[in-house]
Amino acid sequence: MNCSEIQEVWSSYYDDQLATNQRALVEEHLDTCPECSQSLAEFRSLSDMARNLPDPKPPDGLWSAIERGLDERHLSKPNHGRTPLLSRNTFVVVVAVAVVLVSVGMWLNFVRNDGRSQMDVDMATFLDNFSSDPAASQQILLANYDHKAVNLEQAAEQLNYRPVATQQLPNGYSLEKVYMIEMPCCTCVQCIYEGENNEMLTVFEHTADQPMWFGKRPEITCPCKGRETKIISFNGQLAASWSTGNRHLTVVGARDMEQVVTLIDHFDKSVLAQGAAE
Amino acid sequence: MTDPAAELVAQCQRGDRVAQRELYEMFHRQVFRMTVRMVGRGEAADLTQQVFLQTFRGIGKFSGQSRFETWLFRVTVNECLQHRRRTSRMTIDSLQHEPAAESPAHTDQTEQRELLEQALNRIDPDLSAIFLLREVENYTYDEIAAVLDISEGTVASRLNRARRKLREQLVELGWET
Repeated sequence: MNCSEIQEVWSSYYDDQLATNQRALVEEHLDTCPECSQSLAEFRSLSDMARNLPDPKPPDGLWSAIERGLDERHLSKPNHGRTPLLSRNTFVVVVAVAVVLVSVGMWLNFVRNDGRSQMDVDMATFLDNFSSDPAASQQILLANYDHKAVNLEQAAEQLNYRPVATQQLPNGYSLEKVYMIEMPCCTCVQCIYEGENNEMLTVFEHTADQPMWFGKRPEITCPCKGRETKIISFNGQLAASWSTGNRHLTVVGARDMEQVVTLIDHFDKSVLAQGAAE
Repeated sequence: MTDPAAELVAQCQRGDRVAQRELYEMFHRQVFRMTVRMVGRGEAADLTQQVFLQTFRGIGKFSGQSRFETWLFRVTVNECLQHRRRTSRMTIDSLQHEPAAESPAHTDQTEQRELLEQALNRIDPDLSAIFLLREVENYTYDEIAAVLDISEGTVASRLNRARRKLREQLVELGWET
């Protein structure tokens, strides 16, 4: 193993996560490489420093504050003889009516344009927040749609087709999470990737006809790698949608057109490989 | 492996306040320690309160498929990360210590500790979180993977990056290797 290969597995070696044969290769390298031995010593120093971080004591009164917070939400707390503003039955009826009214309002808004307007709003919110806070953006999306965290194999079993997503993407992106999300159009597979510098990229895939997710944002259409691709710019990043075979793909978070083209090519090859395998 | 908190969780799900207190007592030091390291002492108490409130309010949804501690720490890390992202610049207060307890040997350790606290504040919060889970909370790779909902391979690569970035920051701060 050379130094750069060793550096890739440093933490795994240091934390004793490597298989015996790999560990032996690392140790063989360490015997002859003073720089790598120095790096290992620095890892040990970091651990020592972390161990010496003090153990802060929580303040007194923290549980009381938590208890008060819980009590504020506890509607059935005994009222100690005071007359409540509303009787319990009246309160329940009022809440039920309010829930029905809000639900009807939401349903009416949602079914306008076959539910697309609500989805456009949700995707717009997703795009607006993606650059600054991809995790929050993701949480908002998941809060609005039924979803399930899966892996690619589970997605393939449940959908009866294998998503074209792969564990790795070009330029050092690794698959972090996979979700199946019940969108108005269809069940969508969302794959979230992370690059070496923590940059995020997300890929939505489905087989239903491509809905317009970009709302009213200005878009361009271009033939990228022979695919008619719709592209928008948002907060310095790109989102792109295209079809390959019977799959409709949308990538969010590409840094430039070169990356969009690279990803189209990558997924095309994935589709071909699946076709060859079937 | 059985979850030592399982019985208490079941009681909490039935609204048992005594069980809530016991669960709090079991884990509050760990949660507070993590929040201090991630967001600083000034915000840690509020954030710890928020973590436990969120946990107890949502405990009905806890299915028991993972250990309660895993779920609690997932809430803790998520709250800390969201807080860090909301604030553009964080400062970490140094913990007070008794000046009389310092000796030349301790001063060295104190300086190193402060350097590490500053370095943790400078790197990406996701990387701080994973370093703290491993080096301070002594979580294994599979436990970290469960807390952060990532693969063990990703744990390894992120820990690698965390340690590299910390080293770079420490050197910039004057650490002598």
